[in-house]
Amino acid sequence: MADQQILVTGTSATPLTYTVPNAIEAALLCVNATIDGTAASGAFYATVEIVSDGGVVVARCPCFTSVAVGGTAEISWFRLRDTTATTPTPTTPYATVVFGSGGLQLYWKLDDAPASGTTKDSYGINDGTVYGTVTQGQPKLADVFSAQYVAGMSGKKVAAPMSQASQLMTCLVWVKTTNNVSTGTVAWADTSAPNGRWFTIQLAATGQIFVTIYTTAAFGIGFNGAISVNDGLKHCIAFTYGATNPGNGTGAVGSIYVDGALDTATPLAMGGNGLAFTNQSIVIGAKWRNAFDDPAGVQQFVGTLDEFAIFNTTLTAAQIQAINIAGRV
Amino acid sequence: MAAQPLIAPLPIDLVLASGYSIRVVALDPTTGATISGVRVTDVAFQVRPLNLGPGGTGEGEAPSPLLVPTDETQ
Repeated sequence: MADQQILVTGTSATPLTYTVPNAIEAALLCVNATIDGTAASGAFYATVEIVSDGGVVVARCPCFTSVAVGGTAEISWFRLRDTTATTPTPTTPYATVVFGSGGLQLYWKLDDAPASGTTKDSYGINDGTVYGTVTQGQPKLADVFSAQYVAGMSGKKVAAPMSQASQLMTCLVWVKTTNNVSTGTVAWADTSAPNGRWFTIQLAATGQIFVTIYTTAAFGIGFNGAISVNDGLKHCIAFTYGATNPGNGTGAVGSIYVDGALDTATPLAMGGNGLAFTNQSIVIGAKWRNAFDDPAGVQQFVGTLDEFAIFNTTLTAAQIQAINIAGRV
Repeated sequence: MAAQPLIAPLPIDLVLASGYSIRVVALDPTTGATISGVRVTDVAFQVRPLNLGPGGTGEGEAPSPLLVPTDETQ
């Protein structure tokens, strides 16, 4: 389908807002506007903002040339085209395996400087914001792999907007519970709002992994593993979602892996719907519905999390085992 | 006074998801506060449908509804 242009005639006062209808996604290529500051109350940056359906400004694109009171400007915002873009270079043997697994979309190593306030996406563009007193970048623990655990994740959150669009997925993360306590939320991508429900990963009270995935009809389907991971040791946990027909969920199967081995594979009745895709935030370490309005979070993960990765493919058992092994070298 | 021609960047891979909005605002360069009295004319958005819904195959391969204005004051 060709690019489309939407023209607006006449004059509007700022803020000028357009809303994307439901059931479409589009890349924003360009915004053109003539800005008239004749009656402005002060000098200003003309700015394009992208606002989520929940009212959160997810991108702010100012024109960094100030328009003076009385001034007029014709401004064009262009989508950057990175002609020199290359695949990010993995910096550790573990990351090399993760990068090479295919379909990687988000990779929070969680080794950022403790005071940085962000967690960098080492592969994509979904840098996270740290909420609370999460401690990142801790020195290696004696018994862990080459990467680093987050310490003090309990009760805290790291969140970033995230888009997953293939309607297949894998989520993989390393966990280590504290004092054999196993309750809490590993990852949460469910704002309980239309278009905001994707998946959640929690640990049951007895330490088994419990995953809920949502369909495009916002219908949640849960499946759980049998292996407990509440033993105070590090574990590589992952779940995959696959389907014969990702568009309508035919042949859907949810699988849970622990330390590279298949824990459970569950056929999923998707009701004619594919896996939800969303731009809502992923939160790790706590349940956080209605993102950004629940600063305390609930059902916090008690322990540490590390190397959180999202793929838009259904990784194979061999690929997941390879990642698990790489994390233990 | 002639209009000043300016350009500004949009992020790579900026995706407008369902229900998202595009908003043109005027912000104070120092405080970020909204500046009143600014008017906008000749607004044009150019988009590329991604067709990421069920059965979709990726960028630019299927028709999609246009964006529609929701808050015009013309």
